[in-house]
Amino acid sequence: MKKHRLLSVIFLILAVIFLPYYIYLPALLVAIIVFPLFWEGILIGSLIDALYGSRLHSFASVFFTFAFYSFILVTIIMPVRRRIRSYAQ
Amino acid sequence: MNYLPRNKGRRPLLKLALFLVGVFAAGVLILYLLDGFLIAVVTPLWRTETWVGTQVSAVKDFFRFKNSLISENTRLKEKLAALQIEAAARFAGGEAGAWSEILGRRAETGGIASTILARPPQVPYDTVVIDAGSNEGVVQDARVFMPEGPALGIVEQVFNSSAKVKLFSTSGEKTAAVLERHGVPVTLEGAGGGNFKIKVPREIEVASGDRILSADALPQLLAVVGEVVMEPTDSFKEILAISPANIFNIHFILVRP
Repeated sequence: MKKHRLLSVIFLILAVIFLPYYIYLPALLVAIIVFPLFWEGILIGSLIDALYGSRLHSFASVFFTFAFYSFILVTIIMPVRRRIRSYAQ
Repeated sequence: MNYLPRNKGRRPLLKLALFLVGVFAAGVLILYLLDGFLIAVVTPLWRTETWVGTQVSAVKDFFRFKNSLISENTRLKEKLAALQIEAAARFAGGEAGAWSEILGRRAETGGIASTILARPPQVPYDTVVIDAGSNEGVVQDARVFMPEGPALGIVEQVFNSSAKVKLFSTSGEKTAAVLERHGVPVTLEGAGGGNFKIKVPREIEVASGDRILSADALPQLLAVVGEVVMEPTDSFKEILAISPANIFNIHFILVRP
């Protein structure tokens, strides 16, 4: 699982740099759902924002970043995974 | 008798949530402090990708005659589209030319030519990353144009050898513009993907193909009206306009400080 996780992170980073968003955004979503506590997804969201997004002009603009969307998704998925799979970490 | 397991934390979810907040804060710091560094690291990769793409397509064309014909056809179509845009963007001898003469201003030519390193759909926003930065004289808020003339956007962030350009079609971005047909001032609102929206009173006559120009002394083509949507009960009509440039296919731009 750890190996798959590492490979996924590498794939996602390369996808963010080279591939269109309609490939790396769904891939990021799938990774967040599939891997338990995929905190790397938040950093990959930050990478998308750092490379392509606008500079943060105000505190409110933090809420419109892919890092924030990933953070919310990971946070929501965490208890849901615990409830639907008793063996999930 | 029931015993609580010793190794089970009391609030495991809270601890995990705090950990995630920490990761998010680190991510925001990366975004805020290290964006220039990350772009500098990734720029050689983007350049290599462009170079490899060019080489591979040249080799492919050599071996596959049919495909080379298709690619030549595509290239010629692109050239035709570029010439059409250039023709649409010309104002020589027009009203704009007369005004600029009265105001004593000259149409700007030239600028800093640069290649686009990353563009939509690689970029999820209407933003492009260019390979010219402060070393080449690019400054923040400089206007960016297509080589054929139309205005594209504004330089938002400048790094040493690259810069980020925010296109006028960025979702929610508002730009002062003029409907050329009757000289009506409007606010052009970006809708993403090279599209724009405008709301005008229903009495104003607008047709598909009308040009929308920037609202300054030397107007530049910003968009072309694509569709006009109006319900019989509405007091406003919504104009859907498109950028004259195909933002998914731009290779070069000009930056004019």
